Amino acid sequence: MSLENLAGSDIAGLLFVLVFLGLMISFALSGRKRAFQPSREIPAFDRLQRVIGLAVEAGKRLHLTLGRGGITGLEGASAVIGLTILERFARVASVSDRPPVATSGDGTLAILSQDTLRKTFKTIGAEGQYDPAFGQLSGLTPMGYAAGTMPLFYDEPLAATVFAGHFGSEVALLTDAAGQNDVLALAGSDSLPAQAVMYATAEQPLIGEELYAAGAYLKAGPMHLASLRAQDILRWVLVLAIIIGAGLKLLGFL
Amino acid sequence: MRQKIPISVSIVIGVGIIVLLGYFIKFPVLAVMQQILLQWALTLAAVALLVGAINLLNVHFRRVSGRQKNSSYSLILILSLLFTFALGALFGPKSAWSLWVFNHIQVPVESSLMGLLAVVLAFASVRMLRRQLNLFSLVFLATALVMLLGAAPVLGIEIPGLHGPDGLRALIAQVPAVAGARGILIGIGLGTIATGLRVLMGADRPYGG
Amino acid sequence: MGEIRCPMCGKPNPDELDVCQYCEARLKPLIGPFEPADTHEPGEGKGDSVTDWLDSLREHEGGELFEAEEEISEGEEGADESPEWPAEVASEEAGIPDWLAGLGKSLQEEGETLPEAEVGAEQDAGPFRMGDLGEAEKAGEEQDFWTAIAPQEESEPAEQLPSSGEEIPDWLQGFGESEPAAQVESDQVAQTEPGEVPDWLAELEETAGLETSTDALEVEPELEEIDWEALQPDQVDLEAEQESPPVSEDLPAAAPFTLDEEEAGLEIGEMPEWLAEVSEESSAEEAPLLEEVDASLTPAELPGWLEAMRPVETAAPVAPFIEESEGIESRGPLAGLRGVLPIEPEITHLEKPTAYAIKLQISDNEREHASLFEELVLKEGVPAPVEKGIAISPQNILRVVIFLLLFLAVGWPIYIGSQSVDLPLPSREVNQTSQLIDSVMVSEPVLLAVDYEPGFSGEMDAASASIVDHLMIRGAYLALVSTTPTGPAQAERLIKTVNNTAGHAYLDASQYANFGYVSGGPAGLLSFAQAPRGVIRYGLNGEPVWEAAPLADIQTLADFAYIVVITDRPETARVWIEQVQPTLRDTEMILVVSAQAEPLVRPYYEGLPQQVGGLVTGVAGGAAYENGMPRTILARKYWDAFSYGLTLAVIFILAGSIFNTLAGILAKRKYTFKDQK
Repeated sequence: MSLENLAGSDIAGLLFVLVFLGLMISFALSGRKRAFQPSREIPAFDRLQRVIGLAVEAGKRLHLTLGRGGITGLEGASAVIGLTILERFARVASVSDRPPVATSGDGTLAILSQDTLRKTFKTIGAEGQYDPAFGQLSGLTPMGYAAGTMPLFYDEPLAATVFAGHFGSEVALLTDAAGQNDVLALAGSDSLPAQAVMYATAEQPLIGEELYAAGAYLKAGPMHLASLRAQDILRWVLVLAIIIGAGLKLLGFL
Repeated sequence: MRQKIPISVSIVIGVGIIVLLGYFIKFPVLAVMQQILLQWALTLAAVALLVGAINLLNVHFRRVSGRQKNSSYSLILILSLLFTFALGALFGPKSAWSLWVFNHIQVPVESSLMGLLAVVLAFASVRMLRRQLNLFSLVFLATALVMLLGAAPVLGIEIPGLHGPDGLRALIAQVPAVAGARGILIGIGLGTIATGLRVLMGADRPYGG
Repeated sequence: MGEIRCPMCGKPNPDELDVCQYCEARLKPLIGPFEPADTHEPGEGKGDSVTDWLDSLREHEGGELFEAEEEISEGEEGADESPEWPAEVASEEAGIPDWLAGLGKSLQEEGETLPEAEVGAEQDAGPFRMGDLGEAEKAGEEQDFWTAIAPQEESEPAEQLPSSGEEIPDWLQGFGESEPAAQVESDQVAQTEPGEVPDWLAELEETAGLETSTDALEVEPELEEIDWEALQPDQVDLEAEQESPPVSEDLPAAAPFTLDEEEAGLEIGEMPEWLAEVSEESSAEEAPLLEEVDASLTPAELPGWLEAMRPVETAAPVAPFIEESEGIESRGPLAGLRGVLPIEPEITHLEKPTAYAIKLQISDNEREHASLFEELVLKEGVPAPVEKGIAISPQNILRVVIFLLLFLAVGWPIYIGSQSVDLPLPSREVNQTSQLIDSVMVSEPVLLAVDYEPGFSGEMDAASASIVDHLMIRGAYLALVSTTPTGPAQAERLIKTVNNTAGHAYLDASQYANFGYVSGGPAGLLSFAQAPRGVIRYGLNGEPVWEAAPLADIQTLADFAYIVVITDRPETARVWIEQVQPTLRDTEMILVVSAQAEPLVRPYYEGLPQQVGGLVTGVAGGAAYENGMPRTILARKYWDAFSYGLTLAVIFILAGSIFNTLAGILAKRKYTFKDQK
């Protein structure tokens, strides 16, 4: 591999990714034995933990909807977060007689949600509880997905619904259905229009990149905490870079 | 004790590294490998769409066979899906029959739901302040009202300072909204990178490995 | 055939038996040279391990024992007519330790005699009530025991305790309350000897104690006249020393009973200093005991063993009787020694059973919990009343009202075809878009990406129809593609709509081609941008799309004249810009987006270098574009309805928000006021 061949390479981008990776690994190794100390409280996750316990006691079901984005695009990251939350749901609510159910608007997500549930139930020794119907595809288009998910709020005794994934403005139909049936709606998305709708309609919205902190706040693993810390550090780095760059541009140096 | 890494995790890590490096490093061999892997991903994504449709059929079929609540709607869904599939398979997706179903059933239904969305959002806006009365909610509502008013003339009258390319609406849409959106997108981008790296390292395994 | 008197019940048993046939007490000790006087001649014994002085003691005891047994047998005759249950009680009284029984036995053998009247009186006296037994020998035994412990023990009821102010041991206080534990403790105390007393001296003490206590146990009223001070251990010891036969010359020189030099030099009757000190201390303890024991001798009191059998209705269980092993051996070669191992193993000693409460003790907290639990259980069987929900809630009415108002505001202008509201002036980006499309030549291939959902058809059709119309007017060859599954059908619908409204005839492959659906999201789009022929080989109907003349020279997306992306989602717009635009070289990209995507897409238009050449946003952008076109299509038709609908929505949201907020504040105040009230 010669330097000529590397011409046009995005070395800066590669370095950024490598620094990110290094930070994550170092934080994961150093913070293994440290308890998670959140820099700020996210009330939505506190409420969620309480609701999970109440749902198990009340014999109600937990519902997680993963949105309509696949895993091949940018929206895949929020879908992976949704699957992580689903795995935590399945573990915690495994003692309930009503296992959690996951809906999605993408075929890939439906398969992954089934796989996640099966894997989790197998891990905790409750493989008999698994049913493929717990991970279902509600619709193939956004409105079809919303229309296919809404009946769940009216037909099932739900304690809470978590919206974690890629949504559009059609999520307002789902959050409204949740509100009509007294189901706690905790909503987060990577889509800005969806976040705006969620802020107005959901009981516990997650704004910005709070959804990506779900793994850390739900104690999904040390790597989640490490990546959250790395995100925080690099966010400040980018902020400084933007301010410095804007200043230099203003002064005419750039 | 050496921990065995499952084959699925090894594949994920290997493929992810190749595709990622292919984006940053312009190396012919790497580019070729990246292309091949992306082609495979496209095919798998299309197959996943088909599998999703089969899963949809399976879920509703179980509802019908189990005579669950509202299983009649599931029966209509199954019949509609099979009918539309048959039309496309027999006459082609561009045929008049297929387009008729799309133009006269799917578009009106989904447009109706979008109209319903307008009502829902208006209703939610009315109740928002009662649910959470704080400064951010007030700013949110005020901004929404300004954007709505500035999108079209008010009863046929354009308000100076609000409408037009130099009006308040254009200013909000082009400056603070863009800046806020950029900031959120940067944060989302960092979260996306973190999630992707976790999957690449095998720390996150949504694929059941 | 000889007979052996049972040391417990005093009944005769054949000598070949080892265990009494009445009360199952051992007749013959397991260890020790003791043999019943009936079957053994004095002086006989094992002899190997017993010193001469012990032999002499044995002879002396044997004779006395024999005598005592005879006395007991005499007293036993009157007791044959006693009822059977006392015999059973007696058998149950195997719980009395053997050392106690043996001690009583030895006391009897030393010449203690009690007239029957005295026995009867003694039966009603103190805690050792004998009335229920009805056996003189039992009374005799207890009396023997009593006299033996008299110098050291006082068993009197608590109410009869002397008011001298002396401290009374706890075990002794229990005698008056008829507690078996106290009773047991008194027994134990009776066997304890304070200090380290030489064996021969201890024996002398017991003998003296027996003699003095015998007198003290005659009649109850006389107990009060007893001069307990005369029964101080030191005095008792002195008396015992004086009265005991001289045995010092028989003391062996070897251990364990070897006297120290100091003690060896002591004359008989003279107590060593250390022993005197210990004796004084023990006397100080024993004096109050004696008084307590004396005061507790009240008539009609149950004996200790009978008291122990009384059910206890108290919460705390009584501690089980603990056998005191630190008793002074009174017979045999080890007589006078403390801590002698019992002849029989402890396992044969039956302990007094532990007394347990017969009532379930429940605290108030537990009672409360139990009642709560009972309430919960009872509630399970009672169906909860179902609250009837309101069929039409105020929320539903509000929704219906909103719908009706909006329907009227939007539907009425469309119905009447109103076009009274002026179209907006084109903005900079709209003008730039129009200029770019104006430069399209006839049959130049333009890639038209239709990436919006059917639900957004209302807005996106109005925003994009004029641009498509403009392209058709310019005669461009349209290549339709989509990254959503419903996109190809949506693209066909758009073409048909523009055909119908604008009067065009884009109907076949000579004018446009529909590439269909490109799967894979950004990855698929990148592949399509780099090698479109590799990703799309056939059109939507299976026809080979690349054979059309305008597309023959297309190798990459950069070979198209323009790329026009029509989408409702900002993410799709960003993907097209970030994945495809870098590969376009000089080809311009034009975006037609929904109003919700404008904040995210505008930076690409206004940035430097400009990544997006033209931007049309929402219905307003489409209306502005139509304002610059020679004809109007859809935006003009919707513009009045759009304006009136938006105005009504704003008025409704504003009024409703104010009303709801005030109502919420008033409701909170009312609630707070009620709470304070």
